[in-house]
Amino acid sequence: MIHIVAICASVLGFGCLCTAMARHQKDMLGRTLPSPVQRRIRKAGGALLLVALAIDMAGLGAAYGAVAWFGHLTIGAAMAVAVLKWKMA
Amino acid sequence: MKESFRQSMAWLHTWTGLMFGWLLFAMFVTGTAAYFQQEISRWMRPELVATADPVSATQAALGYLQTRQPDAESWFITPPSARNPVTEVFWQPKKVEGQPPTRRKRGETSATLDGHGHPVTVRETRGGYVLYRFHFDLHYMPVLWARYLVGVAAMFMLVAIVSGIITHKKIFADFFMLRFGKGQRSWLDAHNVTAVFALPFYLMITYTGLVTLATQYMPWGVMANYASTDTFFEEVFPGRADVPRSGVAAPLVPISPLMAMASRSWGGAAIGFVQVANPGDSTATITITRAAETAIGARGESMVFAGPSGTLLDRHAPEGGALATQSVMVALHTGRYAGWGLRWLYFLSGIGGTIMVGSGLVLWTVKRRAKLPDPAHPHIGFRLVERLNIAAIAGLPAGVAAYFLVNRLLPIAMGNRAEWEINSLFLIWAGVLFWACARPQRRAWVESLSFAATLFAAVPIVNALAVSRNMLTGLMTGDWLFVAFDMAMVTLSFALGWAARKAARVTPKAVRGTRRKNKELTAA
Amino acid sequence: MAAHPNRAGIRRHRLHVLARAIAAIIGGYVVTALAVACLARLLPMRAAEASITATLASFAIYAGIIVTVFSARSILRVWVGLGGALLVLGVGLYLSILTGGRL
Repeated sequence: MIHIVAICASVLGFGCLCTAMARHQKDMLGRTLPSPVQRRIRKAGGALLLVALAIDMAGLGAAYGAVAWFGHLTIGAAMAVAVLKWKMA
Repeated sequence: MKESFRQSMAWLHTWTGLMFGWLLFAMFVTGTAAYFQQEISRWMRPELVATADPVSATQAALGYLQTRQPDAESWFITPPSARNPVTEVFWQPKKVEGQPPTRRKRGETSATLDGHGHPVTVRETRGGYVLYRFHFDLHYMPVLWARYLVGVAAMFMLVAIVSGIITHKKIFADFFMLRFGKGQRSWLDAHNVTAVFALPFYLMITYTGLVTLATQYMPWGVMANYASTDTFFEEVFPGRADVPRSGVAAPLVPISPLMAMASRSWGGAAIGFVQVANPGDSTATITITRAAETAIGARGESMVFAGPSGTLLDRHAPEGGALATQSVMVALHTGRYAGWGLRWLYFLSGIGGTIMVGSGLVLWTVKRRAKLPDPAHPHIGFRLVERLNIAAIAGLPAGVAAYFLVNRLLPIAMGNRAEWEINSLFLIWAGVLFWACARPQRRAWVESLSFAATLFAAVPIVNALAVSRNMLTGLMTGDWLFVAFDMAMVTLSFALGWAARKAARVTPKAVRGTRRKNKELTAA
Repeated sequence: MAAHPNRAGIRRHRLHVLARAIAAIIGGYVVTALAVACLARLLPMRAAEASITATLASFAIYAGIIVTVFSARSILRVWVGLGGALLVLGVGLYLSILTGGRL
């Protein structure tokens, strides 16, 4: 359902934002990325978070969807950190 | 103060967080649980299996009240809903001339009915409702004091959030930073991560919590414009004056068409409650109010019908942008409008908040311990903080688990059963506090957390032995409440057990830091 | 916070903190109450709406005052600021109620 799809977009979005940071790239990808690529990944991450918002508002209504979006961001961020910790291990 | 703005905010954050940290932890635990208070209440009354149709249940409830309380001033009926299978009724007894209204004991003027208007025979329990009330009314004290205390705590929390944001200069750089096994730094990471990930939720929940009780905390806005609060309430929530009984008997119309009409006019929304004034009299009125679950902004739209004829007399809907904003704020806090998915998001955010407050409390002691002149013999203030941390973080969860266990263990016919369930929660909580004070600090953490973990693990087991519904039968029959509840108990048990194991393996680390002098390094 | 190794220094620091706390918590609340009351009378909307709007904003005002008190450069500035606000808001409110009355 909508919640799952939005959470997926949120996890991917935060995953991108995390990978776009120099200090986490070694753990996430095993190598560092050049700056232009970092910027593009960061923009993609931000875009994915906005896609999650669009999914929420379209599927759940504007007000309800906006509230749910914040919750999806929280779950997405938490799962991205979980992935990071798993890759570090 | 000669330090920078950021440093002063860091100091403010630490002290506002600590001063009310234990109360805030308790508020987070009970508030988080309150999002599922209906489900907890259903779990604690496993005898309730049937569901009920709200309209026929309301009609049946009216029949019950007509038989039992025909002379009451008014009747209040809360129909069953998706989350609550019973009908709750209460009534205002007829006023006796010349006597002030007596305070009736709970239960004397209320009843819980099934779909056919018969009182349900279930074990006496206050269920999840007690946890919800504790969140702002605490317990064993007058509610007015409790609400002031809770309001001060919420105000401290608001300042803690604001000062926390200001002082967390690496909020983006450290966004994904969670290092384990690094002592103080790990606790700070845990505190930062749980705080930042649900920051919009914490800001919202704290501010809207204050708004929910704003009439008590900040009556000045109303008092500035109105000489009497009654005038204000009459303007904002216009009601009909109490009409005395005419003495002419007249039966009430069937309620079903009225409920259908009200629901249709609100776009199919469910009914929240039904109120009958002067029942059985020719002056009787029926007020049907919209359920809070139906929309974020729903707050008390109602329709008033004449009792004997069913004619629509009046409709009330709160007007004005400010009032609508306030309604939305209260709704955001209570989450009554939320469906399943969003309700779980609220719950998980609440868990995040509980971990945030708890990790903050532990961080305070970990940081201070490093600065103690003699870490083996801390001064009494420090020892007090440590013991209160254990009592809050391990003791309250243990109390909640005990509350569930005792619900299954106490004899059904026991007098004051519900009161003793609640007392058990506080007795176990107090027990953990005393244990923590008696034991050496590290052992106290391990033992208290293990105790709480054991109690939570015991809940599904005792449940399976005591009643016929459990996780396995739930999986087979689609009784999802018992599946979810048991899984939640097991998860909490694992989490607390993991924490206990971590606490057992802690060795006091040598403090590393560029600004520490050598002589402050503590040996393991 | 800079550590004061001597007892007199510690006591001075604690009194300083207490002064700020009293100013922020009690002084801040009084100023907030007056500000809310003034807002309720000044906002260009129906009385009930103005009262509610002012009440909704009150906690943000209070939090802002508390943060300001604790980041001010000296306790003197704190008392001057709070005292000045108290005076202006108090007189303003008094005059407003005197001339406009209450419902």
